[in-house]
Amino acid sequence: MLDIIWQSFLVSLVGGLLSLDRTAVLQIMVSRPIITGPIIGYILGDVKTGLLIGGMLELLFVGGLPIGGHIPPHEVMIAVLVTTITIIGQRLLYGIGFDRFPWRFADSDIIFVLGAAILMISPMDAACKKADTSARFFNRRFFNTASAELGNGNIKGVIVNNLKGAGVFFLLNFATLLVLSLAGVGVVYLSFLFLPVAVIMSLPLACASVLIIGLASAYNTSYDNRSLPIFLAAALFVLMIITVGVGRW
Amino acid sequence: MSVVLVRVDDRLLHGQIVEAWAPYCKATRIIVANDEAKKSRLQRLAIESCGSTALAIRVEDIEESIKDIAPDNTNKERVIVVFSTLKDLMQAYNKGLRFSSINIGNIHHNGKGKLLTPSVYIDEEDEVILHTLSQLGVELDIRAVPTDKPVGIKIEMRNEK
Amino acid sequence: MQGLGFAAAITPALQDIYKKDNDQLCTAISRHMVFYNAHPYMASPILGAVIKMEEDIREGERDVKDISSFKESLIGPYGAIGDTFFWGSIRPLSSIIGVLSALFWGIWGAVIFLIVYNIFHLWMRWFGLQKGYKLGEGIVEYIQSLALPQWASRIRLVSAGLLGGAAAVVVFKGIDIVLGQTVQAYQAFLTTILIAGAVVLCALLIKNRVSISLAVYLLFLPAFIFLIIMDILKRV
Repeated sequence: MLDIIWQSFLVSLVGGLLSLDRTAVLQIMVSRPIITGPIIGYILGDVKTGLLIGGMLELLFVGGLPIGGHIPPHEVMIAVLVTTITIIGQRLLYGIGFDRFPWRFADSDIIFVLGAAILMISPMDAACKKADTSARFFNRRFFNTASAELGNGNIKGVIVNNLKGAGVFFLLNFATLLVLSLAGVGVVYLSFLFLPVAVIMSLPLACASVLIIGLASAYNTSYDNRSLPIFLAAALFVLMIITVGVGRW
Repeated sequence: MSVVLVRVDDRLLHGQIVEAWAPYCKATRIIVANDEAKKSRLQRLAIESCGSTALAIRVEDIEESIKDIAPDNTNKERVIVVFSTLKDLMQAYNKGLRFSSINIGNIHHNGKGKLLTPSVYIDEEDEVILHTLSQLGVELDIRAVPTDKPVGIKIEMRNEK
Repeated sequence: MQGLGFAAAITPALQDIYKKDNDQLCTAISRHMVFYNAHPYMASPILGAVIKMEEDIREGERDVKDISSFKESLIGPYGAIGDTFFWGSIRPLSSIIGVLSALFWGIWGAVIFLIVYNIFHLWMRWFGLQKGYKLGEGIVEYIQSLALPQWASRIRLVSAGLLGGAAAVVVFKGIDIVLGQTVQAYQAFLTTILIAGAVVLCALLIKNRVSISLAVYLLFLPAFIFLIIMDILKRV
């Protein structure tokens, strides 16, 4: 129990730092799921799963443009949460012989936990967006303080307040991540204990639908008339190469 | 040439129009109808450098834009027209530009006036214009990007004298 | 509130320009504490040009108004260019390249994503700033000559092609995992075409204002209900 809390704490700390890259500092895109996933996976000792989740979510959220006032899904925090919930949840369940399942839970069953985590994306995203909006609200206040201090001839105030803004983002994101990851792990654990077996068995379908929607949303970033034939032609071409290469007809 | 969107936006051309509305309306041309932008070489250059072969962008003054969009122009372009204020839009209407609906994206008035959405404030003059437009049967669509929910507004005139 | 960010970014340069004159420095900084909302990377060339203009102001060769009108007229258009070029085409391109290479080389895919993206990003940050400082107002012509929106639409087509390839690889690997090594080529072909169709259909759905997470549920739900019904039937 204690190590779960410690791990969630660590993950939220790193996740909070990574999420700064999204809007506040640098923006070298370490805040994209394909980077965040493996990093969180590394902390939890499972890079491969982290990369798998990161890749899936990367495609899913590739289209979210922060245009104007529109706030796209909070892809960093979701990537951190899904990875954490999946890896920790799977460990919790590992080796527990459920009487109700026809098999024992093992490594390869991660896809069931991942499915459960994916279904939680929507409510988690709502919470993350709330945190983000309130951080922006605080930042507006720092803007005003900085203006006031500049009036008093204090130049450092500009830079200090700019940093304070980043600090608020970090703290709020960190707290949100910690609460949500612990809650998510709890929900996964309880649902595997009590939900009907048929429901659990259908969870991998959520992974499949994320893959398809992910490809679809990545496809949507290209809205040229010519992109459809190019997309289909490339798919068929690669498929032919693979089948020839593998030598299976 | 068909007008697919008439937009009021005091920031003129920016990401919301190019990345959200243009693909949504399948537009092939954007006309920024603004006298000041036409006069300022710098601004015109900056705005027109957002264009590409798939989406041409021109800055024109209001007179010119009306001539350009005239219904007897029969090429297959799909045009978005951007005005910076409701006053400009009304001016274009009075000079003969016709449209069945308008989209109001950003009007700030420096935060003064009545708040309709976080990005749309209207002053009294705007209110009169909106009222006239809705009486003329022009649909008012107040939202920044197509994925937003359109905001319905009721425009009551304060007892017309 | 990028206004504060812009002011903080320009402060060191202004400190250099107005070395000892604290009063002038403060007025200069407060010139930049106004609403500023453009694409963060495209702020670099603007920043460069503004620093140049601030130097001109110190020399008395330019009016203070020039700066605010310069910034105001560039915010919108450069936001649009940045959104189109970086968010709309470079990021999807590097995401797709990253995912595609992760399918073959594992964790290197993530590294490749970072490299591809940041080549473009840092190029704009660094050369944009330098060019802006060198050219001043002339940066506008320079940016126009780069024709970034034109490149964006080309890059988008490349992304569509790469995505098609990635889809085929994903589907093929998926089939291998689910059905084992016994799949015949024609089965793989049929499945791929089926899934490509599903992808295009879902793309249409998302385009028509169905949010991404809703689309995931919409796709998941029918299959889920089908499984539940099968389960109940089995028991009966």
